[in-house]
Amino acid sequence: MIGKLQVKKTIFPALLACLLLCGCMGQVPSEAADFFAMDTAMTVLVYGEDAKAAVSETESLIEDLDRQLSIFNSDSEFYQFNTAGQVLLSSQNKALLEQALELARQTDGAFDPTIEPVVACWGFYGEEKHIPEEAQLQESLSRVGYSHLQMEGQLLSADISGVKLDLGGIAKGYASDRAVQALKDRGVTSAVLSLGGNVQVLGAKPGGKDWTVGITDPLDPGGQLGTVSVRDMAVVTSGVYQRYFEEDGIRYHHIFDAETGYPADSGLLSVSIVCPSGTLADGLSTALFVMGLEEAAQFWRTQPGEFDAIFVTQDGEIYITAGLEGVFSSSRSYEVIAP
Amino acid sequence: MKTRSWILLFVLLMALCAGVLLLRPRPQGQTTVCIYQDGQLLETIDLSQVEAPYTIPLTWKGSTNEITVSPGSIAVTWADCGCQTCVNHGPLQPGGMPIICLPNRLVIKWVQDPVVDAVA
Ligand SMILES: [Zn+2]
Repeated sequence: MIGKLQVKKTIFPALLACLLLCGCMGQVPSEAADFFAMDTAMTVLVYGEDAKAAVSETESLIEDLDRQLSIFNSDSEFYQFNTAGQVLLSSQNKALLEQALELARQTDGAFDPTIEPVVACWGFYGEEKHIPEEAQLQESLSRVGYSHLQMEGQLLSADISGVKLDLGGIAKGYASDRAVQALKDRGVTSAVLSLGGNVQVLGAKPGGKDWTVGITDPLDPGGQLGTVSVRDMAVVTSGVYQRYFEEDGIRYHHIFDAETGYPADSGLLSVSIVCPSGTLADGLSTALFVMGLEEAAQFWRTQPGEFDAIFVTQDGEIYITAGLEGVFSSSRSYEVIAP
Repeated sequence: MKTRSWILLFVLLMALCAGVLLLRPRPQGQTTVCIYQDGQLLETIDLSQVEAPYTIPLTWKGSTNEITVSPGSIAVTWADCGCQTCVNHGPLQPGGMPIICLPNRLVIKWVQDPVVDAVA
């Protein structure tokens, strides 16, 4: 009799403890959305009680930014600049353009938001990509150069005609920065955004582990060459495999060198940047690709602690900057670039 | 009597916990892929359950992707999309990018990638 009572007294708390334990091992609610924006496929995954609303808000925010930054949307300020040669910028767009110009100055034009005429000349805005006539390319190239841009208050203009903007090189990174900020503002602590080759993670995974982000193998774009373990970080790759066409066995990719007007031939196949800012990661992945390994490594040394990078050379060799030791893991061999 | 009750209770609790753990939804199929078109989920396929290869033709605004599903594998094997990125991607790999056909708004990806949370 005493035994039965004892069982009854202990069974309830014990059961409760058991259920709680099992409950804790269960899954945190999550919500995901797959959609197309900024000319790429995007996935947003948010954890937490508020996930459903947060995901749909993120999707609309990114779609709004797509309209705002697109140079093909006749309502956008950048479209208006490209057609009229000048425009009054909203403070948001002005801040973004200033970020782009700062990046252009820092990288000595390896990232250049005025590359549009060259990209257009190669047909990369449409279906018909092609090698341009040399004279046409030179004319386009003469209208490229961020130093032609002039800002007086909110008024953006250029000192020669035909200068055109394309913020595509940082648009996705900027969008993920803005989306992550909006998620933070509504109290979300765990989320991952994949905007094409742009990944940005908020916080850690539910349970406190780091996120594992794969780095695409440029020689086998369906596979990966390794992973990085990160939290509160953007990981962005620019590579020759993303948009390209081939003619006579030669690949012409979408990362243009504003010096030559040709796809950058710097000895690299891809550059991945790891840093907290999506915008910076996006712009730097382009810039460091254009620079090539040596110059990019030197640039990294001048910016200690700002970002880290993974390079894949045309020989298929992998280089990582020292800050990624212990963060990057791969079954393949790789070299570490020392500070 | 007291000791026996404790043992009984212990065994009962262990059985209960084991039961709950077993019945808990498993991490959803790491061998399962889903096919989206224009953000809409069209199909979910557990590749480990596929016994013989078959193809799924998907047409989007007059343009077609032919998806080949085989035991343990899925790929876009033919498309008239112009870019051919989807075909050149080859089979979907664990830890790799989803298969994407931008012009046809097609995405093929793991329900839960066994290796990574995202790919850059
Ligand atoms: Zn395709």
